[in-house]
Amino acid sequence: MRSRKCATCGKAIARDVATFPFCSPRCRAADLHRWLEGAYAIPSVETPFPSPDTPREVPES
Amino acid sequence: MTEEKGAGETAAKEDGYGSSSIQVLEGLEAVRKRPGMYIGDPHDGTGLHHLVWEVVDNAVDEHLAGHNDSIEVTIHGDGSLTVVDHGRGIPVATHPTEGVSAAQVVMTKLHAGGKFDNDSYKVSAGLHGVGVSAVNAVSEWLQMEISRGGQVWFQEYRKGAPVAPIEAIGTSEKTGTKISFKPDPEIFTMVDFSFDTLSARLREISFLNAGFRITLTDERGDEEDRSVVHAFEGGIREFVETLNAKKQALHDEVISLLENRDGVEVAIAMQWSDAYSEAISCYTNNVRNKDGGTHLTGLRTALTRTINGYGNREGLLKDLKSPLSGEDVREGLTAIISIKHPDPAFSSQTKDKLVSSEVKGIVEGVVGDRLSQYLEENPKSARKIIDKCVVAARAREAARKAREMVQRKGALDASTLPGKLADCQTKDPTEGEIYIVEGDSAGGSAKQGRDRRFQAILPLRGKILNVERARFEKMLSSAEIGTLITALGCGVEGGGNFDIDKLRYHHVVIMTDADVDGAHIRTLLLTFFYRQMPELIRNGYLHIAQPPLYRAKRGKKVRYLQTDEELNLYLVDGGADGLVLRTRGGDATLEGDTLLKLLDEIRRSRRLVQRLRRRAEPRVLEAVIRATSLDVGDLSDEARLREVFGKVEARLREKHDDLQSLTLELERDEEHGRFAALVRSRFGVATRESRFDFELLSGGEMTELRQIEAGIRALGALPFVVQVRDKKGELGDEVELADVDALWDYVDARARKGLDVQRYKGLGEMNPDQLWETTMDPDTRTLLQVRVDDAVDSEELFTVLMGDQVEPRREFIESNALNVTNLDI
Repeated sequence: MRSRKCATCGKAIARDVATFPFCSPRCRAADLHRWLEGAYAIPSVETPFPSPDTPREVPES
Repeated sequence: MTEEKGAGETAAKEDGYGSSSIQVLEGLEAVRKRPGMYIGDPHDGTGLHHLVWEVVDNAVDEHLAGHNDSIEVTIHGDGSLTVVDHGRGIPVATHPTEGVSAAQVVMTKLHAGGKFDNDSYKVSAGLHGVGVSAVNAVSEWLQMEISRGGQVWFQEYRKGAPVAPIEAIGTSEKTGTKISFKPDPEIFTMVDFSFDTLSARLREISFLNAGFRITLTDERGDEEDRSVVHAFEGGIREFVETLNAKKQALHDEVISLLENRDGVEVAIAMQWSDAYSEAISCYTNNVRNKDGGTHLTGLRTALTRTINGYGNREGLLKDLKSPLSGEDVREGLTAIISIKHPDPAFSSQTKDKLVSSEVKGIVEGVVGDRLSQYLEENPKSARKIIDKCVVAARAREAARKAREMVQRKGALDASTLPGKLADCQTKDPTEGEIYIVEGDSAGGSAKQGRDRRFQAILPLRGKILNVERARFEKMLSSAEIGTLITALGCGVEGGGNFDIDKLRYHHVVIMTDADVDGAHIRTLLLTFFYRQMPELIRNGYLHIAQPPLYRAKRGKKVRYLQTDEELNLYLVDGGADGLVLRTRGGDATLEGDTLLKLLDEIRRSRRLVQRLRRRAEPRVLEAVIRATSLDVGDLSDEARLREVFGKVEARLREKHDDLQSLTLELERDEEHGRFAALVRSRFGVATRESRFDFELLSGGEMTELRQIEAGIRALGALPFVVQVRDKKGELGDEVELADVDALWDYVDARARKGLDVQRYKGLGEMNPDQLWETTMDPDTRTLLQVRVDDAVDSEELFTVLMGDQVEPRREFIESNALNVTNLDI
């Protein structure tokens, strides 16, 4: 069994805690707060503005 | 595992790392019988990678003893791995009590490493302690090459047993040890080394040992080798800088301290950034203690006390109702604590947790003194750190508010269902399905293609966000998350109102494009479900749709294929359909599965030749394999070599009109006491040199190539003869194919005849009917059921993506597709 860390504060937690994967209701709610705030974003591979020196693949029609 | 005294202990001690400092303990066969006890789980990869750590540890010990500044680790195409160090080389003299070389003792007796004798190394990595013999025991083969005392020694083992005594095969000025091994598939079900796993641990080893340079190379890819060098002159301080490179650090310089107190060396490097999570890694004598222990407790106690103390003295905490908590203080902290302890105690054999009680006080004292000093001397940095902690404390408050907010919104009825949702007719959750679809155009197709009686569609859009000048990020907006929560109807854990009985659909299906952005949205969604609706996953309600990657059409038959591998199999299958193969000189005929197996071996053989192309010209290598049986033994015999390459030249002239010249030069390979054959070939205008030497010919790729070739030769003398069996079972005319290449081209041409392959770049390229047929129709679709473990993987990926971990994130994303169990519904 892998040990886990609380997704908000990083504290080590047991698998059987009721608030898994968080250490506490506080951290779970803080996570929800971030989702609802739009705070979670990951890098996109798309480049919205292609730079002139990188050839772009032309999609087949 | 205490220090058992073996027979070797009575031998006189010499200075340094001589043969007699190797103790002997017993029990190698036991490792093969119960590998899990010695090297970890052979099925999930832990045991497999453990083998590498065992070998690398020996090299690290040489480094700690001041004799080795770099190593090279190489993953080969055949699944074997090589570790080269530049230490003193394992002793080769005859062991005083065993009567064989000390190196053989190290390789064949459990726990026989030098590290069991405290005189050899002051502080030993001692990570695993079972020794390299355990690696040998579970390897299909292992080759050891030792340069020591002006000579090069070589020995090979099969499943732990030496093939022959160790033998001096050449001379060298250098010293060092080279170990190559192939994990035995009889023992390991998981035999693929993970580049990322290896790289992460090797990097760790490198920063814990300032100035130790580790090169990791992966030769398995079909393209260029992947290679990475880990070298941290600045040790853990430099590593914390690296860890925080992509974050906004609150203070420029890493706080770094090194102090020896009461015989324990404490090294700490730390820096706060604006991230949310805390990342503290703990090490004792180079070993990671993943569950922390007394050093971590000491660090945490000192941090909380010191920062609260400073904040209060400076009047920075006046607004807070209560003191900063430990969590507040550590939010955004990246730290490494590495202690060197002469006799540490751990809670378990895996050393996950340090329990030496005196360490807590020592660390607490060192951090308390030095951190106070730092804060006093750097008031600007101190101020920023304290401000961050205060913000964290306030965030606790915000979390409480978020909870209240969702609870208010919680009550749901049909009137609050979001407008974007195209709901289904049934109200029975056990029948209902909801497809969460990325993108509006795909959402449109899905709405038209669905069966509205039981399938609902919720289109979501990843929003693109311009974060910094050149960085774009993708996210789900708060409105999208709100829509999702409302549509599912079951509330969220974080809002304290989750109720699985209120879930409106028992099939929740994530349907995204098969590209990187689609994977991102999927990762976001999986992470969201895992964190806020974990019971959905535990109950098996969450699924991932499997849209096809290819549409292949032959004649009127259409096939949808989900992976490149499936496409390859489909091609070979089509090419071999109805084909009957034999050789002119043999009796056996191959048809159906046996023929497919042969074609698969040929495919593998062609790939291996390509993989070796940096060492040997593919056409030349191909000719060596097909026309000769060249092996390591031939390298000692000049006449034989000339004969072999005579055959190679004859074959090349016959097959390749553009061959201009082929010359053979024999060079002495002193290290291996043999010749190395240098073949210079010119095809057209391209001149290439191929080097057939000990290393190439003893390597795993060549062994496998020879095995495949032997299988082909066993079929009888060429040419191949193929016939096509028609629908009535009658055999058509014979076609002769001179060799493997001709056979491959023939099958390939058949496979492509009348074939039309389309690659789907996104869901939007499919029309509603196709989407229904391939991805949504319960009778024909494949759905992957998400298990908790998959979600855990996804969350880990998410954590990396969020930038809480270092490595270039994009690379990570692209090489980590999510693994989910296959489930046909």
